[in-house]
Amino acid sequence: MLRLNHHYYIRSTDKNILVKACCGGVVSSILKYLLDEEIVDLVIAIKQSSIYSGKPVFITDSKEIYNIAGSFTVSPINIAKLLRDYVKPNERVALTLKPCEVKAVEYLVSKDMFKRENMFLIGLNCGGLIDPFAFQSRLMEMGFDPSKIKDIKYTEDRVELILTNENMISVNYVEGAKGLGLREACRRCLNHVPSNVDVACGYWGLLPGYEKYTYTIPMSEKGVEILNNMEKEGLIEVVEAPQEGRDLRSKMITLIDKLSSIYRSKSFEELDRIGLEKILSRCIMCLECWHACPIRSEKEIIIWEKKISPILWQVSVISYMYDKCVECGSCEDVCPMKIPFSLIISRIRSLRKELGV
Amino acid sequence: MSSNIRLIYSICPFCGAGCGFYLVVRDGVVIGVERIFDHPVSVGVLCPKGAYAWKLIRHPDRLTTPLKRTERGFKPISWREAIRLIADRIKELRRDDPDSMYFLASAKCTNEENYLVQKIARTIAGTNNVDHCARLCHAPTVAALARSLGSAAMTNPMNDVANAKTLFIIGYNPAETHPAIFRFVSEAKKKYAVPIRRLLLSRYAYTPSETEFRMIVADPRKTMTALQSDIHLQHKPGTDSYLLNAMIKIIIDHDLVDKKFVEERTEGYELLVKSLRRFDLEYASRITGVPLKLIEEAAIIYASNKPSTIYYGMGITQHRNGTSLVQALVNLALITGNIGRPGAGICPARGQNNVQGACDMAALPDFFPGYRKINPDTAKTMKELWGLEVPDKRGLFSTEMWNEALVGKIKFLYIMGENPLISEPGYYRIVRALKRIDFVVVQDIFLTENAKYADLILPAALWAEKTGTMTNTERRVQLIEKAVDPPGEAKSDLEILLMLLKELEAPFQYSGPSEVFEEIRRVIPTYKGITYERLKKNRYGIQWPCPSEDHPGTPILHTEKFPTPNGKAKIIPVRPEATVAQTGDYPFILISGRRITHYNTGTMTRRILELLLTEGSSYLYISPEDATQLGLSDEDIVELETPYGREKIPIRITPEVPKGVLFVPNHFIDPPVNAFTGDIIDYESGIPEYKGVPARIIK
Repeated sequence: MLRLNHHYYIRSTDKNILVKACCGGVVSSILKYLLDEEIVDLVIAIKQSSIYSGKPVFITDSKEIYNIAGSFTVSPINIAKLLRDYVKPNERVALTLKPCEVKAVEYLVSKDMFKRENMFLIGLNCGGLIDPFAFQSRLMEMGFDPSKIKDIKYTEDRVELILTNENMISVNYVEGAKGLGLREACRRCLNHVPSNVDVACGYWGLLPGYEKYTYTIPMSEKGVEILNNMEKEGLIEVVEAPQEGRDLRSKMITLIDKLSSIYRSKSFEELDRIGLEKILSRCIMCLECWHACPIRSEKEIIIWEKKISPILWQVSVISYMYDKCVECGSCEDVCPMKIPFSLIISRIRSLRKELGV
Repeated sequence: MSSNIRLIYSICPFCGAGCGFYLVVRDGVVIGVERIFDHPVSVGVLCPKGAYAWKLIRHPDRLTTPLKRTERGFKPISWREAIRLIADRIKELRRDDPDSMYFLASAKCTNEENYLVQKIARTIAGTNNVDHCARLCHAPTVAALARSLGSAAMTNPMNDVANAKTLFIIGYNPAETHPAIFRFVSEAKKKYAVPIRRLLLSRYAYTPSETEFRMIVADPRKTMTALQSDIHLQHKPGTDSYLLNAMIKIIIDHDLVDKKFVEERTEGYELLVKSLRRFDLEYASRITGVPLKLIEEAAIIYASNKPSTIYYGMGITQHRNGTSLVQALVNLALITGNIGRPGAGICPARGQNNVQGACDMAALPDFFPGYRKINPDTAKTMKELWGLEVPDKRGLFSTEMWNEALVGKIKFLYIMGENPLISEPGYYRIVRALKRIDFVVVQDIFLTENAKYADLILPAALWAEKTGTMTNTERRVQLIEKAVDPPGEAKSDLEILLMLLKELEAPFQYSGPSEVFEEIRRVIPTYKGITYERLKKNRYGIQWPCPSEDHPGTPILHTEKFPTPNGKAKIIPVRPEATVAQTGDYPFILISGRRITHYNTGTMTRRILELLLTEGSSYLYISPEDATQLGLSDEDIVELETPYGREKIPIRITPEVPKGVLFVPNHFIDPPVNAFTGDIIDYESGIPEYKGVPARIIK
């Protein structure tokens, strides 16, 4: 019997999933179970489409889960935005979310756009996503031809690049992340562990010998129930996580938080140095940031109708987003003028804290 | 029960960048677009046009049935009847006077469709009178680059901008017109943001301050791109040839010429030196209105902070000396050796999503497919390839055709997906010409302004409703597949052409797009190695030239030699010429261009509510100085007069335009900007002179 908020090493017993899975295949197994038992109608997931990116998929047939098993997608696709744009409010849906997306979904629920009881959320530990273009240009700078890379493997703290001539290059993920085009928003993120989900999964804290397991924490009654049922039906094997594993996980989280905090203050300094006015004057009002944002309102037309200036537009976006922004950085990914919106909001938030509100 | 949502790969139907996106289809209806983060062009970015493009599918204004003009307006007829009408007309005219027929292909349609149109025109109708809107945007590029470099296309891929150290943009505003390309500029800016590193240039009293990446923008307007630049050369409209020649002379004088490159890979350099011996830099500075020091700085940076890439747009081509101006840019790139390497190239940013493809397919009156210049020899080659007679004299440029139509020499006009009434120069002239032509067929998705003058309207399918290949500005051939069905009886352009082929009892028939593409591969050498199977596997396309099926495609052209007869690029001197000047009668110069939320004649963008709300009608942009002098305030309605037309138009005061220059966006119809443009064309390429029309304001 699994218990709420206890830590487990879990492994799927489905051979088809295990073959492809990065770790224990627990996420895929849960998704498959939810569809099989008709607990949800729809799963939104990401299928790896190339070594640099993935394609969102909307799955209603549980057999298709085998196609997405093991997809370790690193490109910045926001599932909360997909949910918001394409799913009807009454549909029962299971989502695999990064911590920032969980917050965005929470916001959508708080605005009554979706019902929490219709959703099953699987949260993932997240060390950050990669901007495929920056990644490829960094590879070129390091002297590798991106087209010569056959596969990329992500392990606990390293990225392994497998070249077409079968040579392998291994780069430290946490430190080398800068070198490998980790998104700016992820580099300064302080939100690496999901909360308020049904089940949290990840690979941080797996001890040697347990590589083919998933570090799993049931975080809601619903999550406990599902995992218990799955165990009863023999779909998963459960081991209680040893103390060393839990220590390893917290160590990992502390380390990555520390690195992020350092980078965060560096980005703030950089922003202050360049000057906000210079950055904001770049805006061309293409509204890509708005379209990419999972927590935007649907009223952008009004802004266009009023024909306001780019600066005023940005200031109104910042003030609208001030208390809502989940700092997922989707707006920065798509900005052709590279305006770091989410950084600006973080900076304003930190300044406001310093002012003592 | 949950609905079935699928994501289908597609390409944006607007500009030549060819951004990829996924169409989100729920139960056969498109409900949105999703960005693709590893697409080599868009890298997750779209612009407002692309973001709303899906709203055109199932638009209530779509044409759904063939329409025939009768005395009491348009009447729906059956497809059979419509196709028979066209076939009869073609059969009749090919006997009597094949050159009285004219075919306008479309840069919005697929390669297969364009290939078929020109093949029908050349073999069935028996005329080389086939053209498309490249005539209005990059015809000089095709003429000059094909002549000088041997290949009429962008030399480097767009994302290669990030490898450049100097970016020289002239007559082009990518921040608004191609945000996806500008993203790479932003990327390059960031990449080279390293603290002071002294360059060799210091001896010219120029010290780079903060970054190594330099962006030089030459544009009469203070565009969004110009605002981002390190050096803005704000020259007067029509003086580009002085500006470019001055830069070349400065490079020669300062001994910054790449002698090894010039000697090994080019010819005609001596002539260039000779032609510029008497060129007066002081005079050039005066006539362009740019301080000599600034031109000098720009030229030195371009020549020494290498690799350097040139991007140019319609600010260069749409002049009466457009071909010469493109040649001047080629000269600039060649003497500094800035071609054929990563980060070094000459890049025409082409307009339409498939304008490169339509040119490759030779929907052009002066080339056969594969850029074979029309002459009796190439006609023989084509005869061997097709097994059918083809005419061996060049046809009329579309810009020449209207004059012929006005005197009644054109009797049949087939327009596939174009809106020449708004896009061609001289609005009233085109109206008269369209009325004069006996039989006008318009094949389009909407009832365009032009379609209102048609005798027969055929409802076509738009990009998401058909299968075919498109070639973007960086020569990337991408396959799009049908995502949804067209509305009503509308059919894809290819299906319509195939029906016409059946009715004409043509000796060549095809079952679908893949069969047409097989023939394209056979006829056009640069497409030889590209197949539908490969394109299905490589979703993001293959860049031609691709000579064999195991060839990965060629991102950068001219790395070793030029595809000219002797393998060398030609440097051809360009005569400096100011094409337009402010005079007492006409104290202003009118130029036109695009805005970020609209596209060309606006047939599509003016039907998208969100985009229409940003801007919906013509405005005359005027500088604050001029407005004060004339005593005008914002939103005042003035009368604008040029030698070609006179219309009422509201004004908008903005420091974006300099004193003495007026700007009208070219998307709107009330009044269309072409009500003010005339019939002057570049004699080499036939491009009309849109940029630089003398004008005056009457209150």
